[in-house]
Amino acid sequence: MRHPIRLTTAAALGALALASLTGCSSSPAAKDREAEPLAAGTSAAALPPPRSAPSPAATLPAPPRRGEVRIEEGPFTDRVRLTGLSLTGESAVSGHLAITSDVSDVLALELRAAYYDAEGRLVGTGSFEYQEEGQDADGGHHHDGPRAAGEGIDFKAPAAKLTGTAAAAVVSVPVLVNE
Amino acid sequence: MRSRPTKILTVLAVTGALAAAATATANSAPQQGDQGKKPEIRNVIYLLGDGMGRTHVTAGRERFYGADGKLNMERLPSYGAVATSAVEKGSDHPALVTDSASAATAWSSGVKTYNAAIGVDSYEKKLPTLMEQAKKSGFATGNVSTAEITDATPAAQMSHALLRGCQGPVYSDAACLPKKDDGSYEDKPADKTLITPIAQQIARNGTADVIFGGGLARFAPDDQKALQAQGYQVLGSFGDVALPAQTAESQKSATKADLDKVKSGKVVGLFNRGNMTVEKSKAELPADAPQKQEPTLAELTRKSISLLDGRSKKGFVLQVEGALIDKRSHANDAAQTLGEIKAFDDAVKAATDFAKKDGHTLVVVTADHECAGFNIIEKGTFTNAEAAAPPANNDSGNTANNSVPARSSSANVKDPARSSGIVNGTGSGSGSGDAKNFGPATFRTPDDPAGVKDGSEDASLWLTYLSGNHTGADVPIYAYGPGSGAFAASQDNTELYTKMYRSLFGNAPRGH
Repeated sequence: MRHPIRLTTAAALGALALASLTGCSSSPAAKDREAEPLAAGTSAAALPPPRSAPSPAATLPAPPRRGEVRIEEGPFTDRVRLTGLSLTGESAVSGHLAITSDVSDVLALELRAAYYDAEGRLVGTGSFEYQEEGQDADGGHHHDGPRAAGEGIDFKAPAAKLTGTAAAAVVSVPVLVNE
Repeated sequence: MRSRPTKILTVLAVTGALAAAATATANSAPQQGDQGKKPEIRNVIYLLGDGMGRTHVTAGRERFYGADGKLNMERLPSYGAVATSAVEKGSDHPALVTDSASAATAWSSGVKTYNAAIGVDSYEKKLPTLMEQAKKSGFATGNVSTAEITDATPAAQMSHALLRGCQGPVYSDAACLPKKDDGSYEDKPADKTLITPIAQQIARNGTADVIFGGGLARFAPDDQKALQAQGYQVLGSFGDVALPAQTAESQKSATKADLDKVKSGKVVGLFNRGNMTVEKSKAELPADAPQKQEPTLAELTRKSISLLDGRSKKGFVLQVEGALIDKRSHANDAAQTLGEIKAFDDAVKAATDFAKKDGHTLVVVTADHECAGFNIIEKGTFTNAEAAAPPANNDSGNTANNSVPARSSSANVKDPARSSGIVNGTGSGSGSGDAKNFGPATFRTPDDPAGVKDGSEDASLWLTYLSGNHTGADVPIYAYGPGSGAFAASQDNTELYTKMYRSLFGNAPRGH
């Protein structure tokens, strides 16, 4: 008498196993859910190329003062404090950046400098990049050196290729990502 | 003949799975969804407290409801634990402490990946997400967070990126490209989606019908245009198309008043340019502060459900994140952390209230990882961080029990330089202003006598932190509704994807 029960149980489990393997365990309603096309009105828009930071202005609206460093308002300038900005003789903007909101770890930061001659014409650009993404992963890309979180970080954005003599600079912060 | 062993193993494996499921359900209190005939699961609401470990839940309970009380999430009938480890990039070697990106990819796509990865595997291969699959199959979908909506947790359901930092508004190598061992950036991938700012992806892929959170600064006017072209209502303004870059002045955050006016349809509401405001801070601001215009997570959850319920005959999938539990735990700010746990738990109530009425809704509540080694110590005691030396390790009565290094109990005293007083208790009169102080944060509970103040030595809830980073501890999971018994188990975070997929589609995802 016990054998039929055993067999039935085994058969049921086997059927369940087979159903599980073949995907036949779905209820009719569930199966009905599976392969519907994208619902009306939900079509996605085409994805354009990755958006780039805006190019610096070709000319400044007014000739700059020699050594002047301006801050260009942007998406993150209300989240940072830039101090000690100076344009050195070697054509590099330096200073200190401290983040004033969302103050947990800084994953990525980019600061750009556009260099202008005494007449306010663009003569070159430079940038300062900071990345500590993935630093928590064993064997990952750990960030060495000063950290941008907390008291902030000193930066230097040297001009890459100048086409004239840099007399002033405009600094922008196109990238800021906090943990 | 060769196939027989496989069949036998399969039967055994299924038998084991059934037994495990039966045990888990038996350990749960009886619940609506698992009694008698099983109702069809139409909706899945997945709520997670970012960084919310087991002790966060306990501390929240004791702070707001007392030792005998329960948070709303603790009232759910099924309870289990989730293991959260990640893997190292380019391998399947475990990385024992996850970040939010890897964890969110695990439950969104069912695959372990490297820390910082969004919707890609350890080898940078794009993975389908549960929300994408639900959307494609005709479910209504929603994604809510108190973080920037481009942050890791919401992003992993509706975008794909090599690095979680690639949030926008613009691409940059530093934010979007991983570094190689020599410190140079990897080559750009052939699939440019993986380095397209997450904001751009979200605005165009139509994966979520309802999108509520912070992060307005990540978006630009062309994103608003793309959303509106797909039929979304966009609350507030993404900025001035005439400007090369948007600013705090050019963009307008959505408000609770905007939210209240929405009655139906696809909606995007970004209520802060960065993360939404911590509830404790919001409560302390003057009435006319702009942050006061932000809705609570519970209000966002209720509105999302009202917009999604009935939108599709199939049902809906909604993810809700209480993100600031983690962010305030990183900062070791216990007062704000507790407030965010309460705000998250209120959102859990909003979800379960709906589920109880609906009868076809599975509610899952969990976390992505623990943050900061949050702990409850006995009133009047101190932690290693406050001590001049670690606890004693010496048995002079039976020297065979001595270990190395031997330590005397006399050195295990509070170091006044490291523990100059209780900190971070609201209303603290004895709190130290010393920023280097490792003292505990103390809070009164409903069990304390009247007059006991937060931040005093008399308050009974003493909270401490191990660090300012994530830990590898398992996190709790609670569930309610049809199919909730499956979550009453000790499980890996990738299994959450498999179980939710089964709940929605009735069978196992391919390859799982």
